[in-house]
Amino acid sequence: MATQVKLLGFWCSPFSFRVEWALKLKGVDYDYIEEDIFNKSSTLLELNPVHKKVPVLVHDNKVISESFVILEYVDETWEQNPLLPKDPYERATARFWAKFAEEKLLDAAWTAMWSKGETKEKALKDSIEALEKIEGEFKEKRHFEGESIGYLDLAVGWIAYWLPVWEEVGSMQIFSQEKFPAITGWMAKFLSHPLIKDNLPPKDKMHVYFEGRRDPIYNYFNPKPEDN
Amino acid sequence: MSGNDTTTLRWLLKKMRIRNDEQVNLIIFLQLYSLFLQPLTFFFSSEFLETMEDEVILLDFWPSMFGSRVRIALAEKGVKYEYKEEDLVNNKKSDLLLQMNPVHKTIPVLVHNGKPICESSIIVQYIDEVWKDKAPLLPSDPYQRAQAKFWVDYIDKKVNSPGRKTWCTKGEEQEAGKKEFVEIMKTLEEQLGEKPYFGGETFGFVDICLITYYCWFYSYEKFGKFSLEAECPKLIEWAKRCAQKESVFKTLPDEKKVFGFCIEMRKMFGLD
Repeated sequence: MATQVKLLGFWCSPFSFRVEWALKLKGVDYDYIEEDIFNKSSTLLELNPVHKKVPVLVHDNKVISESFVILEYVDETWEQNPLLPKDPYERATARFWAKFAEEKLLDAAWTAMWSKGETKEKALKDSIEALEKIEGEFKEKRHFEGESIGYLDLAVGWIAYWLPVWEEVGSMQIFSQEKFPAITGWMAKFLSHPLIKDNLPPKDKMHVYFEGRRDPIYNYFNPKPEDN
Repeated sequence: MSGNDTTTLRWLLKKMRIRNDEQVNLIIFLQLYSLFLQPLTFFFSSEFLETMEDEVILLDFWPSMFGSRVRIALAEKGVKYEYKEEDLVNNKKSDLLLQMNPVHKTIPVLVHNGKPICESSIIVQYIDEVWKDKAPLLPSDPYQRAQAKFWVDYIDKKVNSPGRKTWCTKGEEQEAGKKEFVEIMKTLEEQLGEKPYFGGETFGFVDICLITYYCWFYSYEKFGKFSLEAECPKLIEWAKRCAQKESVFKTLPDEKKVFGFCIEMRKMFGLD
């Protein structure tokens, strides 16, 4: 029986793209289904009732959610072009830095993009501190210098492409080539990989989209008091 | 090499049209190998390496539900380790902790033959992968493994914050924390269903990552003024089942001792 793989995603979600990159690196054929995250389909709500988010991978009748969990599932199911290293210590290190970048950099950078005042200042400071730690790791360890792209590259790939857009939309600076030379080198290598460079969302559309999200998100977290 | 071996080998080499003098050289080489080099390969065998003692150190803090996860996992695998208590009440972090976890400066940290592994759910997976011959904590099927990792991720993201609010805050914030905590426990109870453990028939990764909150339930209930058993009876049944396991009851601190710790902390935070 032929295997069927479906991916529910969103056109500019860095979390969706991680999974797409992994599937492409493994040479897995899949059907991509675009989800309107502002008008979630009943399919999505059935497949991921806990978080109601994309990406969701459906492999035959098996449903997997949460992008890092999906990455590991894809790695274990299709063994060609392994993403995670074999050595347990190196695996733990890759998982650690993926988690760190997600919790400390991505959240902070996203918040810095849409927020204002003190909240923005703190988020900016936190983002820079987190990026400095990642720079330190890039310099010392060899995960990112390998010839083949791996789990950690996919986990933090958004830094190379989404972060510059968020910086512009948020009128802020987190990254600079002078301050982060090791990350700069990695970014160039990552974005020029044939399977990555042809699988990125259009930048102009991304700008429009995130510009359009900035103020509504701010207003959601800072509702105006009602006039009496 | 026996006489028979040599005879067979010479026949083979003759068939391969190898000259007599070269045959002799080859046979001498093979005899020297089997006498001297081959026995040395024992020292690279897993049989030998396993007999060498691993150095395992755990940096921890006694009430931590994250540290307990690691202790349960090590106990399940029968791994001997050195336990080092960090004085976090007085915020006196040891040099070793700061050196081994410079990024977060938090416990638990597992130091295995000098190399640090941080973040409790990552440490538990590491333990499962290194000491893989005993008591598997994760299933072998990729889809079942993904389910386990999904629920541990859910527990990691959702439980701690509202749990903390039930004992560490007052008024509206505490009420909201309590409500959220109960909802999350109900979701987990639903996921457990009729299974004895989250992974099915055997105690595993998800069970380990959730059971360490069990000794904190008493404190949450006392300060939050609710009964988890009334809200989630099946979950409490599961917890009692897990608590019968030696790795669990020998690890988890007494719930009254945890309660005493919460009282001290509340005083320190100026809540009482």
